[in-house]
Amino acid sequence: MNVFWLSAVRTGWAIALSAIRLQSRKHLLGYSWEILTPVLYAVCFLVVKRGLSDQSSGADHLVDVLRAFMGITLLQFWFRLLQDMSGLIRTRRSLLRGLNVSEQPLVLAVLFEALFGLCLRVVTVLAAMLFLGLLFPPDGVSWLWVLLSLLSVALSAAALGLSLAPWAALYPDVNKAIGSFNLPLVLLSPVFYPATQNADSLLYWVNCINPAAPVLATLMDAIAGRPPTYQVALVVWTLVAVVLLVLSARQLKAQVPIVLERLGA
Amino acid sequence: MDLLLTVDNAGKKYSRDFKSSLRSGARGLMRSYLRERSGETKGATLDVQEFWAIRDVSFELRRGEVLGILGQNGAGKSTLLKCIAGKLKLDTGRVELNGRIGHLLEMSAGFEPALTGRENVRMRGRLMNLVGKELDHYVEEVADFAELDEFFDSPVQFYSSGMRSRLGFSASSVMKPDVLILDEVLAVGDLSFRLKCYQRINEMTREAAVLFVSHSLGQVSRMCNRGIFLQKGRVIHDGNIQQAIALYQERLGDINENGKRHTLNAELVDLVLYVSNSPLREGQRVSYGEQLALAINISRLPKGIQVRILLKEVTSNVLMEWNSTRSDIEWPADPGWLMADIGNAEFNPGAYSLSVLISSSDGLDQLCLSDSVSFRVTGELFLGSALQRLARWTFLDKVEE
Repeated sequence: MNVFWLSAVRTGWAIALSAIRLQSRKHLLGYSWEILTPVLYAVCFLVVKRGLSDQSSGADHLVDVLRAFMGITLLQFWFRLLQDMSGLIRTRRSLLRGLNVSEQPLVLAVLFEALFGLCLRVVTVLAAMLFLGLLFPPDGVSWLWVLLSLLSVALSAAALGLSLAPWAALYPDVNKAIGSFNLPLVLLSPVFYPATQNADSLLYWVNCINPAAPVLATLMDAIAGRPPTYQVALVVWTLVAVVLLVLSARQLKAQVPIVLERLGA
Repeated sequence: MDLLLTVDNAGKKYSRDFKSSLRSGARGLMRSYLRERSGETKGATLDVQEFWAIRDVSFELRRGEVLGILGQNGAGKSTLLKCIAGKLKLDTGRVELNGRIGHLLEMSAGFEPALTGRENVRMRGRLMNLVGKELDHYVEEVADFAELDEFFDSPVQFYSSGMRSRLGFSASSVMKPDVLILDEVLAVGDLSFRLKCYQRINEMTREAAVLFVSHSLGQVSRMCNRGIFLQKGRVIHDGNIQQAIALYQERLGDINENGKRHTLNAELVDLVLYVSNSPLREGQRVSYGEQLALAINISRLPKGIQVRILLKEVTSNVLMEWNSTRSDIEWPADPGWLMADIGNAEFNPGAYSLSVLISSSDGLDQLCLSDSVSFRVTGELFLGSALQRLARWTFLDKVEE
């Protein structure tokens, strides 16, 4: 790692730590806000599901609850990172304009802060599994798929967010569009129902082009110890995300001055 | 001396309306994907709503040079500095830097109100790639310079604007750049702190090439050894700083003469300026030391009024005032013209104006503020203030103490 990147990582880490400290200082409940929404969703889902389907067996029932909880937790993380990354130039404009600071540490700071949030959510999901009495993934391969899924969810959100960042700074419509995709994406992802295994169905292909769906499907497969159904989609999305992230980060140097000029004071 | 900065044919255009600005921003972003460089022919044409903020600006700057950039508001000074600092993208031309660049443009940038001064400064240090002992030393240096005492460990949101400026200047000015950009930075804090700022900037400029923008001509003439005068984005003069200042004052004088000023019942008085006992003719220059007198037609005003003659410089600052109530005037029964001998034109070369403010005898009710009579003083320019009176200088062996 050359000196530039080492210093970018250090600086990014320092900014992320400061943001985390600030978040804890500004809010009475600190980071617990990140998991309160998924817990509420899970409780609602539990109540609704109990009321609607009495037939499901106990184990299936618990797996459904876990899927809803984990799905909402990770989708919320995905949207949060997408929004933070796409809003990067707008929120950090005074820093970019006023100081001699390159864009890379700021990108890394968003990523580091998101990874901290992801770790928190993963711990919460693991705690939920213990609470529900569900078993952890049975073998090393399943754990590898879990890790790849978590990496993919972070990378796809970061890459899409960063590629949208200059456009989001120029046009506030981009943020509105991201917000309006929130609920449709939850409904289209295997959160409240299991991911379809049928490659002939339209929903299967919709899941393949939805960056969050392969992640959730693979995680549930790994927990159940099944071979992943959406492994190709997951790997392709991860690779696309890496390429998009690198290209978008390289473009920022040229794009930031163009955007800053139009952002005003 | 090392060549540290080359600005070659730089051009930057802006849009007049919001939609067109967004369109051109979107075009710029699309071009960035195609990796087009600035300076290509596409940037050289103007759309309907666009105008050039700077155009065809070229100069070189070497170590030790302090370049003052002068121009009226909207002349393109800040745009030029931001383009050089890399904060704005040029539409034509190029900027070549040989060395590290430092700038004091927005000194409080990035301060998080909920964090303390110390935490903010520490973060600033991290952004400057400082770590370990270097970072600790930086924080202590800033704390010493800012003199915020116990407030340094309070959240910045509780700072006054002056304290925030002090912290911003202190945190931003700890650097050793090769090219230093200063844009209106010396209006910080109280007088004693401002003197410290001068000293800090002097230290920074010793080893660097400096670009300096300020509307204070005193600061510009004190600090700079070279000047550029910008008008509507183009370089009109590049060379001697005093010539640049003179040119700037000249243009400001033109604007003052042609511009509309605030008046009040101006038709109630007429003014005639006498220079060495003759009325001032159009285009006539006043030499340093010539005798000035102002004739004021007060026939349309009541008796016993207070007459104040105001001498202003081009920036409309009042330099001096002559008040009739200080001189025991005996008013005739039917006053016509009031002649005031206001002494000699002991002013630095530049544009000045005289106007008359008429008030009631107690000075409380303003009755009239006249149009201004503008005039220009020529002669040798000496650094310092606009008013430079002659004194009688005498050498003595000893004086009574």
